[in-house]
This record gives sequence, C-alpha cells and structure tokens, in this order.
Amino acid sequence: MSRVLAFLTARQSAGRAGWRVTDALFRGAVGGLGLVGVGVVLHRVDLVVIGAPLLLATIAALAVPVGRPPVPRLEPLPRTVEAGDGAKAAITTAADPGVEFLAIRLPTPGTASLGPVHLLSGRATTLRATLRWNAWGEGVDLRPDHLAASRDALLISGPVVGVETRRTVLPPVVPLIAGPLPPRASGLVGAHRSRRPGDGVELRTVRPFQPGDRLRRVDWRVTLRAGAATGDPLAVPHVREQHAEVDADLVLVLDSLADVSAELADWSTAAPGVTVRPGGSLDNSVRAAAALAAGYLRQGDRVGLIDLGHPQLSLPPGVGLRQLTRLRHQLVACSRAAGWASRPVLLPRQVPPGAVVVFLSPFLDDATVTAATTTARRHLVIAVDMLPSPLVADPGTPWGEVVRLVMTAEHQARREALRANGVAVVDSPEAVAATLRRVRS
Amino acid sequence: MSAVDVGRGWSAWWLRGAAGVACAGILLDLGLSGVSTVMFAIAALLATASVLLPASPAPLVLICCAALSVALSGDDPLRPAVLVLIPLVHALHLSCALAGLLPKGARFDPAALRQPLRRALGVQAVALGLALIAAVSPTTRTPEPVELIALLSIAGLALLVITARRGRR
Repeated sequence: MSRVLAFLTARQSAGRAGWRVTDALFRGAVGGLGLVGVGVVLHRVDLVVIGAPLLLATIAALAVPVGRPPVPRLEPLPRTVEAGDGAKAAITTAADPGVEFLAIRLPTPGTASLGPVHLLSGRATTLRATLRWNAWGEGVDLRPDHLAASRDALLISGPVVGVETRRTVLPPVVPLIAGPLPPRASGLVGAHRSRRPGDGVELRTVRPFQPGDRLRRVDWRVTLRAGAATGDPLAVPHVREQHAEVDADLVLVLDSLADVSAELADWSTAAPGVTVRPGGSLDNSVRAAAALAAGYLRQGDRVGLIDLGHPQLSLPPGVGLRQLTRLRHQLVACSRAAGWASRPVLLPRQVPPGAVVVFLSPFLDDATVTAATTTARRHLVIAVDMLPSPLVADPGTPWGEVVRLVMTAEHQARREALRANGVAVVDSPEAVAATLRRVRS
Repeated sequence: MSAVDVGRGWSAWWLRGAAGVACAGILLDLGLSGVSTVMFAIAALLATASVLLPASPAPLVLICCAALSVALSGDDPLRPAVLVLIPLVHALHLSCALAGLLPKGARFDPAALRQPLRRALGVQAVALGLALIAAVSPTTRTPEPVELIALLSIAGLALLVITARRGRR
C-alpha cells in the first residue's frame, strides 16, 4: 500500500514539476471547505452557498493537469541594427492545456526599458513584440522573463528570468560635405590634387618634351604652333603635364574621458538607464565622428579613429563602406568604455604622416589641450568643441552660478590656448570643411 | 489561438480595480446587513489590504468575515444579502488571484480572461442552482450519523489539502 502511495505521490510530483501553489489555491480550498464545513456544522445553508463557488471553482481548476511549464523561445534577430530601425520580435511557446496564463516581459513601443509584464493567454503559440531602436549604443533590448499559471492562477511556475539578447545599434550617419584635405606625400589614387606631376586630369603645365615622356602626352597643337614660330615644325615637341591625384588621411580623435550635458548639476551623476547621455558631449561627438567619416569616406579619403581614453580601441585609417561600418562599431565600443580612463593618451605613431587630425572633445581638462597642441606640431589639427553651450548652473546650490562662471572661463582659456598653438577651433563638425578650404587656399 | 501582438492590453490596475469593486460591494452588503461598526471597520481594513496586497491572506479573511457576519445577521438563509455575496466573493477571489500574479506596471490581454470568466459563470450557475435547491427543499433535521459522516469527509478533505500544500514546500 505504501509503495502504491509512493508511486502515486511521485507521479503527481513529476506531473507538477516546477509548479507551486498560490494563495488563490489556499483561499479557494481552505475558504471554500471552511465555509461549507462551518455551514454544515451550524446548519447554515447561507454559509454553504457562499463557500460553494470557491470550492467548485477550485475543483474545476485542478481537474485539468497542468503538464510541463512552457519555455518561450525567441526567434533570432540581427545582432547589429541601425538607429531608427524597428522589427517584430517573435516568441514561440508551446504550453499544455492546463496552462491558462502566461505572464511575460516584452518591450512595447515607446518604452526605453525591457518593457512591462504582459498577462496573455496560455494558448497563444506566437507572441509578437514591436522593437524600435531609437538610441544608438549597445545594450539589452529583450529579456523575456516569464511566469506560467494554471487555471484561475492556482498553480504557478516561475518567475523565470529570460535569456538576455544584446544588440548593437550603430550611430546614425548624416554625411557632411567634405572639405579638401592636404594630400599625403605618397599614394597613387584619390580625389585630391597633388603638387607633383602624375596621371590626373587637371593640367599642371605644358613643357618641352624630355626623355622618358610618353608620346601620347605630346600636345600637337602647341608643338605645331611653337614650330611655326621657330620655322621648324617638328623641332621641339611639347607635352601636357597633369597633376597627380592622391588620397588623404583624416584621423578622428574621440574624447571618451567625459560625457557631460549642459546642466552642471548632472555632471557628477550617471544618466539613468543609458550608457551615453542623450544630447551630451559624447553622444554629439560620436554622431559628429560618424558624419565626418561618412563624408570623407564617400570622397575616397582614408579615415581612422583614435579614442583618447582607450588607445587599444583605435582604428587605423582605411577606405570604403566597410571602413565606415567598422568605424561605427568602434564608436559604439568606445562609448561603452567611456569615462573609465584617467588621462588622455595620444601617441605620435598613432597618427600617419601628413594626416589631418580632428579632435572631438568638450576640452574639460588641460591634458586634452596638451595632446591637441602637441599633435599640432606635426599635423594640421582642427578642434571641434563639443561642450554643450550655454552651460546651465546647478540651481540646488548657491555656488551654482559661480561654478558655471569658473567652468566657462576655464573652457574659454583652453580654447584660446588651442588657437595660440596653431589649432583651429570650431563649434560644430559642419565648420570643419570650411576650415579646411581656408587652410588650402 | 495562435499569434498575439503584445502591447495592446489593459493596465493591470484594472484587475485591482475589479478587486476594489468587489470589496466595495461586500462592504455595502455588510453595511446594509447591519453588522457592527467594529466588524465593518475590520472589513474595510481587510478590503484595503486585499486591493493593495492581493496575494496575501487578506482576501481569505475578508471572505470569511463577510460570510460569517452576513450569515449571523439574519435568519433567512437565502435572503438578498446572502445571494449578492455569492458572486461578490467569487469575483474577489478571482480578481485577487490574477492581480497577485502581476508586478507593478504590468498589462493584460482581455482575451486571456475569456476562459476563466466563462468558467466562473458556470460555477455561479451551479452555486445559484444549489441555492435554488436549498430554497425548495424541505427543512427537516438530518440524521446524526449522516451529519457525522459529512463532517468527517470535510475534515479529511481539509487534511488532504493541508498535507498537499506542505508537500509542495
């Protein structure tokens, strides 16, 4: 008899593995039985009829075996997406008939977090959630925590923390109009005119033929005209000489040491729930870097990236669409590790000879200014001031306005120091092209 | 049911609202039944606790208190105050069971409640049928042995439930 009882108990336990009773089961069973029992003892029909629904509902709910708890499975989504994109995440579940409810955490449009918990029917086989990636960066966008409940929620299984799915949202690209870059001393192809002769299309000069010149370069009109002047039509052939066309290097220097907004009160605290402060200096710097890179890569130039806080995250100059994608990934990686470096690092070997260097920084410390002015001894350096302006004083302290004035004055002094050391300072990435044009002219 | 688009549901506060409506109905029923002020105040406290903490013993205590108070406040076992309490108690039980599942800020799909509501209607029909049978049955004294067997059966069922609950832990 005891073996039969043990077998039945084990079978019941296996059938309800992972399931727990709730207060509702206790309420229905004890409350229903208690009221009916007290009604019978006291000969009170009213207590019996009040307790009967609880008892009947509990028995009806427990009559169906719950089976195994459902396991939601997420259909794969791309690991890398563009900012502003959206997609439908599909989660499939297979629940037994005894599972009446499935509470699952899924994102909804307009919520920045992992989303609220949704109580759905347990019979649903496919759940679709709308995802929209508005902010660039890397993070968790789906974690389907779930809980299954039997009829009338008398038994529950869970809550189970779902598997996190991480996604990289690339920063948006708004290509800027690219300015003329000083060409490198070497290189065979590109969009920029070199000072030396080559195989470009722009005329450099017309000169007398020299040994080594190709015959197809002979300008017969000039040759005949010169011959007519001297009386010997084919005495001195003249050739047309073109400028060489070469590529140029642009190195973007990202200052990931600080991520600040216009409100001074927020400088000492991290932005809640996000890696990068929206509208802050790092956010604007990354967007500007992506825009500058897109503009110059489209022009055929070579663009590289240096992270002042993490030299190991730097990217050597390269060309093409693949370089732009690589660079945007690297910008996300740089922002993920932002704020953890103690001082800026910019080694001379990180910048190729002849490259133009664009600093994207709020210039909040002297070390960054020193790095820029040191680089300006060997390269053309343009500093894009990414500090949000105007700064807003902390209203919570009487020293807020004083602090704001001191910070503004220090920042202005750093800008003056940059200019004094030959660094062009601009306020927006759109002004880089104009500065380059001014330098070339 | 095959595919569901999440995000279109209602706020879970509606479930607590349903529990609140059921509690308000029970309190109104108690008030109209003429229960003592102390009992009414206790019931009001329990009702508040039921809405705020649906997954707590408060709904069970409120149900028992309300049933006993109403039963002891009148002689006719099937008077309107009792008949009204039957669906109210069931509604409180069901709404608290569902509200206790969901955390703050959760949402629910109304279609998910279709099946339990249909079952609750069936249970209510059976309960009201029992009340109808009780109303038309002759009120004679049950023989003592039958009463004893019934009481022992109920006690055995209660022991089974308690044993099963401890076994879960």
